[in-house]
Amino acid sequence: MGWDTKRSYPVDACKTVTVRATAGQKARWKAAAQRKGMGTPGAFLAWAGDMAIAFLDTWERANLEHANQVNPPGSKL
Amino acid sequence: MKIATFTVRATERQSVRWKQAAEAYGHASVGSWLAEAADAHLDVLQLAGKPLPLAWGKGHFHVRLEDGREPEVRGWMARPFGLFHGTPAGPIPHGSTHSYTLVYLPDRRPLATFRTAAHCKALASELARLWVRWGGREPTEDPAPLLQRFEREDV
Repeated sequence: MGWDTKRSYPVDACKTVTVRATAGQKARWKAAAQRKGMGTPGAFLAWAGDMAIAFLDTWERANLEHANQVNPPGSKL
Repeated sequence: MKIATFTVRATERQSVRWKQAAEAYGHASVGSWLAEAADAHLDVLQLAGKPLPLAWGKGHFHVRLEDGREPEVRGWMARPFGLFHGTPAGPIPHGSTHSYTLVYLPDRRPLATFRTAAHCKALASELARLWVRWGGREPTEDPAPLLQRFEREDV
C-alpha cells in the first residue's frame, strides 16, 4: 500500500504481517498514526498490538493477585 | 465492500507474541488480531472522551487587546479558536519570547496565555469537547477550573 517505511519500526523488524482493513479502518488508523507522530498506519498497528499484550499481561497479573488476596494460597474456606 | 491489504513489520519477538495472543483469543490470523487490537484501543480513547484533535491552519483574525483595540493578527486557526504569538497586551511579531495566546474567535476574546503554542492547542481541544457536548453552543459550564489547570501545568 505504500504506507510502510522502516522509520517507525525497530531496526530488527524483519518479519511482516499482512492486515486487511476496510476503508473506515484504514482512515481511522491513518489518523491515529498521524496523531501519535508515527510514519505509517502499520507502525500504529504494531504499537497497538504491543500495548494490547502489555495490557493483557498486566490484567492477568492483577487478576491473579486479587484472587490470591481474596483466597490466599493454602487457606481453608 | 472495498478491502485494503497492507503489511506490518515486526521483530521476531513481536511476531511470536502476537501469534500467541491471536491464538489465545481465537483469531484465525495475526492480522485480524492486530486489527482488533487497534480498533479496541481507538474505541477506548473515544469512550474516555480524550481531547479532540483540531485541524490548525495559518490565518488572520481579530483579537480584543487589554487596551480595547481589536487589531488583526497573524497566527493559527481552528475555528472557533485562534492562537497568536503574543499576549493580551499585543502581538509579538518577532523574537523568541515564549508567549502564545489562545483566542475565542466569535467574540475575539483572549482565553489564556501559555509558553508554548502546543499548550494553547491542548486547551482548545479540551474546550472543543465541551462545545461538542453542548451541541456547538458555547457551554454554560464554568471553564475556570480547566483554564486554571492548564495554567498550573504551564508553569
